[in-house]
Amino acid sequence: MQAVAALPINPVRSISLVARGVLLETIRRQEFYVLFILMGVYVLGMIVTMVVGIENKAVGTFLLNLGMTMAYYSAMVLTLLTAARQVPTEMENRTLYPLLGKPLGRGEYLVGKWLAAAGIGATSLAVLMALAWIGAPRMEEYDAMMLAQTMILAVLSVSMLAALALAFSLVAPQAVNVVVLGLLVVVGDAAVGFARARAAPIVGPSAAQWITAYIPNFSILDTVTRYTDGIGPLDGAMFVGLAAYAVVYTGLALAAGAAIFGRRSL
Amino acid sequence: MWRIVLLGGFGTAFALGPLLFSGLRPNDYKGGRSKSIEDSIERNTSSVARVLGEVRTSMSDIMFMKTERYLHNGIGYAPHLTESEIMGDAGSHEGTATTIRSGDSDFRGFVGVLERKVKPWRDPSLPHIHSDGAELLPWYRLMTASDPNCERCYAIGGWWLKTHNPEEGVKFLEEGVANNPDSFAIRFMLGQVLREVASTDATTAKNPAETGAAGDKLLEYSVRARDVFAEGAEIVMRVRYNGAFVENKAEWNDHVEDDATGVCRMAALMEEKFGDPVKALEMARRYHAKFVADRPLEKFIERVTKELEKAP
Repeated sequence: MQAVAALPINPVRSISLVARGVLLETIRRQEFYVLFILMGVYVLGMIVTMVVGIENKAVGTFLLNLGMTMAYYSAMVLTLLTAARQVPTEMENRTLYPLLGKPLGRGEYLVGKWLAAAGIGATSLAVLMALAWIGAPRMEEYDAMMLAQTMILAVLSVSMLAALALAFSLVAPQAVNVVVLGLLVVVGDAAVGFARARAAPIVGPSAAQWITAYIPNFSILDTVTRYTDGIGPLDGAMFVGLAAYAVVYTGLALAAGAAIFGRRSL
Repeated sequence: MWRIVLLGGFGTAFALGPLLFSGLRPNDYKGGRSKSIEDSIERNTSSVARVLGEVRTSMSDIMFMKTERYLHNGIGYAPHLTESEIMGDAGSHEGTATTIRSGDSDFRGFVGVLERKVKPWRDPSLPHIHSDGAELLPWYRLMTASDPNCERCYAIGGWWLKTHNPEEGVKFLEEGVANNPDSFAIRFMLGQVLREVASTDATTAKNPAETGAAGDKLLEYSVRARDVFAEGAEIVMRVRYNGAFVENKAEWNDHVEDDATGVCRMAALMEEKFGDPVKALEMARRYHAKFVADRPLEKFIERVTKELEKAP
């Protein structure tokens, strides 16, 4: 009789099973319904606005920007909450231990969790963006290629946030993790700019620039306003650079998370 | 093993991140509807903005609204953004509604009376009382720290700083120029502040020929102002279309045109005063050819041409 430990385990299958577990749990918790209800209120508001009448094109563009920005941040919030609670909750509920008792690597476990959190974020992003885009009046010219780039960068942004939230959840309490990353998402660019301006007289402008550049910057991956401003698409090098930026932070967060989790005493 | 390779690879890319990713600024672009003053006025005077109340329609509007609130000593007024609204009858904006309704139009009775008593409020029919702007300065610092490409924030912040501490105003605007090398609007303001510093410091010196520290200071700052105006004018020559002003052509509104003509006029004038009048005349002719119809430049060309003809 063959020992259980010797059975060949397909890592893709392990990862997909972990991811499936997260998806089922998210559906059970029904958090995303809140976001869809919020977006529903927005769409209803748009319908009322269009019935009443929109005075000018600038207001139409503002409403489109408002809807798409709401959709982007809603998806980011859902991703952050989903990713940040995975490991701490499983440890608290002690469901992690029987899971890792099975032939499942800790790295695979983490990748499965990330894949699910990023997938949930990307799916909700696509649905919410579609609601915002269809619901809002489009009274000016917008670039279709820029819209595609905006969507791709938003998905990469969601993936990066999921990876960072998972990695930080291994070293920081859940509430701290959510607050710090939430602040980075919402006011990260302004806060980093302010920190840079304050640090420049002390350490010099170049050093301040270099140090603060390590802080994950989600705002460069948010090009919604560029799209609604009617600006043309990003050139190839810029787009590839932004994608690489997100991939590096995502990869590093996952690799560092796997390394920390692999050595952690449970 | 693969974990070490992955961690090493991503770690190296992360370590070199400031070098590799420093140029990634997809949202640094000229123009755009969100930055357009005309669009902002349209948005903020729409029923949507009224529904949103004081939230207004963009973060920059919120920041500017804060500065406006401080400027009016805490009293909240409805936006007065168009030129006629800003100027009012005597530049004092009377008639602009307050965000807290006045007694004759307030349906809330006692609650309205209480709000007007306990919150900063002034009868909207009276002229506005403006503060000296000191409270506004941290907001401009905050705005430029959070968005180093906000040219408007640098230019207006520098103007306010000029009245309190001109030297700091110069530093602030020089930072603006460093962050926005293609901005002629910030250079226009920097040149004006440099002239202000020169005239403030040189209370006894009226022309650069005078000797002593005051005369040296006047000359030094005036020459710096001349160079800054000239740089600004060269940017205008590069970025402005040829011909007379056309409203909103290529995001070029009347505010932008005012800065563009202003920096070119000052560049020629300062070159005449603190440089070479022949060169100043050439500059003025070149600038005039760009704008086609600019009366101050025409008058300048006529005057300097006559003076050069008279000169031995």
